[in-house]
Amino acid sequence: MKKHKRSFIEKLAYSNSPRDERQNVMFTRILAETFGGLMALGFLNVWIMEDFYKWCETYSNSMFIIFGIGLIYFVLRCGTTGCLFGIRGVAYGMTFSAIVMAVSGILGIYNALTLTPLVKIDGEFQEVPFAIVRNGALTGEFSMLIYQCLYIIYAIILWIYIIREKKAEKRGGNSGKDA
Amino acid sequence: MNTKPTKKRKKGFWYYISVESPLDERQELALKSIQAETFSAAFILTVLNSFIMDYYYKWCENNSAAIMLIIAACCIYSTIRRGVKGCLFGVKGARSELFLMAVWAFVFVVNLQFDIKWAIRGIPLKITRDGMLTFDFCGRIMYFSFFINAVIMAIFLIREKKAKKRDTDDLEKE
Repeated sequence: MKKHKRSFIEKLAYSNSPRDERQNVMFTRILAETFGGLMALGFLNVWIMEDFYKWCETYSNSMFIIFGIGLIYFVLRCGTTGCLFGIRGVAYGMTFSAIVMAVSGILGIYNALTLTPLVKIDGEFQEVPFAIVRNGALTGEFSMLIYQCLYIIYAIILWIYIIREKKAEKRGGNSGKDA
Repeated sequence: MNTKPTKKRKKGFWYYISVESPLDERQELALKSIQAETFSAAFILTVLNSFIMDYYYKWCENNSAAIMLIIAACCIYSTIRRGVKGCLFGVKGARSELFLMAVWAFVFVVNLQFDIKWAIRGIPLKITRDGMLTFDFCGRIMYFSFFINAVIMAIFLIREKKAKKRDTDDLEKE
């Protein structure tokens, strides 16, 4: 009897690695911690930018940088406490998401370096040359470069954990792995 | 046998502030999941809001005023969810929560006094300015949401006490 070969969509939809009780508790706790910290940082950032010093050209770019930092913290915490992967090891979706983050980061860096930046001057969008700092604030294109780099760093860290987990699985033996 | 009568310790003001009512395992887990939900929704809304205000339409005077509205909505959502899931008050009942409710209500009353004084002097509270919600108005909404939080907590507390009384009455009848 021929073994049914799973398509890419089927692998993505059906392969999962559920977490046990301890991992679930840790994961939820770390999620609450991370987003609570992100919220506090976001509010602090907006307050500093409005009342003290506008260090970034736009508020949304500064928020994306903060989100990138939060992602890296989240993956490191989950990796060290052992709740990143479930009882069945690395799920297919996780490898897929690591690839997607890396590719989108690379595309984002390419866009930031090649596309001509547009800045709103007197109510109209005008083309300006690429710069790191403009009027004493980090430019939109440079901050985009920063947060795309942060997403690539997140993807690299995730890949390191995936490789380590797969090596540990090979040593321990693959049992009940769906992907 | 010389037994000294033990003095019953009076529960003072600091007892009600410092002693936390611990949550059991189920309540802790529910609380953490609700916190994760609320914080993630708040952060996503903040990012979306800053994107809209930067590139499309500046609907609020400044970003911190918009964040105040988001915090107000998330506070109320979190309190209602916690009340429904039964993780608002701990195993030993509401102790530090009562103090928290009192603080929120106090903050609201203090701010209300300022509004009343300004209204008497003829300085009205402006809701919009140049087609944008004002910072003062958003701040007032946030303080009002604290008061609503205190009211919601009081409602859940009364419900819990009634349920406990019903259970003890049923046990006595048996």
